[in-house]
Amino acid sequence: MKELDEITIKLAAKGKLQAFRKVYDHYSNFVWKVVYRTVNGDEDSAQLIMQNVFIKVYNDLKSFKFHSSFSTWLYRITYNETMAYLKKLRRRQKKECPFVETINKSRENDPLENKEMVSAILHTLSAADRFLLIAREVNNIPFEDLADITGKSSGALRTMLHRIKESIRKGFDYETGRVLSQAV
Amino acid sequence: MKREEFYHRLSDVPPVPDSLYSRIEKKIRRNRTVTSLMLALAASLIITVGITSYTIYQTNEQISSSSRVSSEEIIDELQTLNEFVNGNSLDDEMEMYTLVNANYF
Repeated sequence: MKELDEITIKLAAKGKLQAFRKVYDHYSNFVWKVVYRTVNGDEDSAQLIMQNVFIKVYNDLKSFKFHSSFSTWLYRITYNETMAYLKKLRRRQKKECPFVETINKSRENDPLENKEMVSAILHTLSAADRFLLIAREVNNIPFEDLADITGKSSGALRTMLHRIKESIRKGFDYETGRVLSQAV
Repeated sequence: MKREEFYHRLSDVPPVPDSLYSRIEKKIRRNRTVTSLMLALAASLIITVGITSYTIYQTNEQISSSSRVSSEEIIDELQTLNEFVNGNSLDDEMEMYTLVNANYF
């Protein structure tokens, strides 16, 4: 993705809210896509995570030294905040996502609409797998950057992504829109 | 839905809510206010403690200087004590009285 100019980022690091607004406008869609899909379409959770991410970005911008691209740094914060949020949620509710129930009920018999189908497929994956899938397939983050973000080797991530795609292929009938098995 | 379509639809998400930024900014401003207040509180606490310590130190200085004994007085006292303990003072006095008495009688 095209990075925002360094001057704006440095101004935002100095606490200038106008510059920070530009940072938000430039990167919010990028963050939103991965967060929204990782929480599997739970908009309230996605909004809370977005808030946490951008507040952390504002507070920690001073520590950003331009050793990596800004989007990689932002992605690392997004990954950590998303996983921390879901962990907290899991601990509190003893299940991963509250929005899963409706999908489970609806997908038992009837073929799903395309929109529901995407959610149902994503539901079969863990949050970390969803994050990896969106990061690669939607936001086109390089494996090397993802390795830096997640702390795993890029080889391991390639294998993980392959496994995720395989499980999606085996677990879902794209033509009829029916779940064949509980993948992953 | 085709496999390719699934991957295409992954990026098909609703737009970022318009009100989200204002909420983020509101929280940032609130955090900044709280931080400034905490810093101001810490600074006033440090200043208050500093002034109080200085005042106490000054008062103690004044009290001790008023009741301070000069070193010359102490040396005299010690000398007297030393002579008394070693008996020098008593012998001298006895001798002096003897001489005085002899002349008198």
